[in-house]
Amino acid sequence: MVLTSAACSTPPTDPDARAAYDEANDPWEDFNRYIFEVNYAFDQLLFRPVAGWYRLALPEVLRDAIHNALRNARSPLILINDLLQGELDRAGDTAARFALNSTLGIGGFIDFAEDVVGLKFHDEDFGQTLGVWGFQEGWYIMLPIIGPSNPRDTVGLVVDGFIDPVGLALRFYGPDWAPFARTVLTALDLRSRNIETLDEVERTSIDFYATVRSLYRQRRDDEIRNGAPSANQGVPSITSDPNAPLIIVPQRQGMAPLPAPRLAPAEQISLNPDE
Amino acid sequence: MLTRRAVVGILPCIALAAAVPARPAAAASEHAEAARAFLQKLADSTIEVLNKKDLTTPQKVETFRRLFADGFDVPTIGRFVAGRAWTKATDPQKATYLQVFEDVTILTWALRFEQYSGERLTIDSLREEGKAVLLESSIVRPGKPSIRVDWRIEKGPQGYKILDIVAEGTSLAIAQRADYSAVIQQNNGQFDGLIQALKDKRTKLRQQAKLE
Repeated sequence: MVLTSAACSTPPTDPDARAAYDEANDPWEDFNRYIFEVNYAFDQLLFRPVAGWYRLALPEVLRDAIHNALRNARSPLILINDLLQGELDRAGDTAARFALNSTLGIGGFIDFAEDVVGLKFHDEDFGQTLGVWGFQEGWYIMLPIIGPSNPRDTVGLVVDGFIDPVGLALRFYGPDWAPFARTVLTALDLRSRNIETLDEVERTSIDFYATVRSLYRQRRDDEIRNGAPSANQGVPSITSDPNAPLIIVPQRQGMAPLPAPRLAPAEQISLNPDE
Repeated sequence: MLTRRAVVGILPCIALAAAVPARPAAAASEHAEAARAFLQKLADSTIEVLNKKDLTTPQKVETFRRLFADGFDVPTIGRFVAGRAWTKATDPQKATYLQVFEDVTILTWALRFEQYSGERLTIDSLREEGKAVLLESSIVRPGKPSIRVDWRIEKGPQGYKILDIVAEGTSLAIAQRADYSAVIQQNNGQFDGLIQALKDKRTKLRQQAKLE
């Protein structure tokens, strides 16, 4: 697949710069950085302050109860993705959690399953399912408002919206405002729990955009593996061996070769994928 | 052949594995056990410093400088996060960079620890990967979910040193390498651009730590 666009950067010719370009896997970087700036402005002006007020206005007990209820309402979607990934043990955990918390946990407001039984929450989404099925992430994209993503995770997000049982139930049987209220609460919950973490990343990094890009990719990779160890994708592991290579050609672990969207001018297009 | 020390070293691991039934008991070598002891000791000394509420910020930064120099393989980390620019850098550039890099890292940790509120480190399991020992641990936070953190440790001429910290699957070294590589790129591939950016960062962090 070859996309041609004048707005997009062409791969650099210098080998070092080219290797850095491949490692970043971000051919739309200029445009993405622009969206990132817009998102950042919105966040600082609106989302972060509102998340701060949310945290001040509501006592922790209530915020935790809302957090639990939102997670519980997400459980059927997580269960579907557990099953699609063939993770039967984890599907069992999710189903048991949903049953326990919806009843003994009073509609999900209390995380009875974790607090009493010790069944811990885990998240899944269709982007991860696609990853487990062997789909490549593609390349990095910055979505307006939503933030870091890639084609695989964007497709996942859309599919999740169509298959989420609680979302569908709310849309067809609930009051008109219910889906919107759920989205707003989810955003408030997420942002209010990450104020310090994101501030810290911004404070400690030099290039906030590039750091977030790396953290997003690493985090998604870890989520897809459900935390199991793996070689780091495309990046050599750090070692004290002075002879170890500093450059490793990006070779994503255990997946098909990257169908890279080479945003090259038409005359550079070659049928040979190695070029 | 099992030496007595190895057998004694394995015992805590068995106890640990029994305490955490979800994880399979890893056969820990003497090497891995020594790495575990090293990390536990470093964590204990760090927490000891953090609990000394009467230390001034400059005193804390000085203490962290010693702990950090002991605990982390700064030249290796610096070389790794500099990425490809390292191979082309001159010796004076490398020396300046490593000095500023160490300063920035120590200040970052010193400021990060300002928010310390009773977190503890529990080591859950050990794994060997080539020369490196990977320790899986949990940072246990009072009243909050614990954080999964892996430590990459290697034994060098000066004993055990930390090479990388991987929090919830995200490696600090790899994120930093991406950060620095972007900075170098934005400066037309000039290593001096990164050194200058780090110097600016150091000034900012020193102001935040009220050292200037």
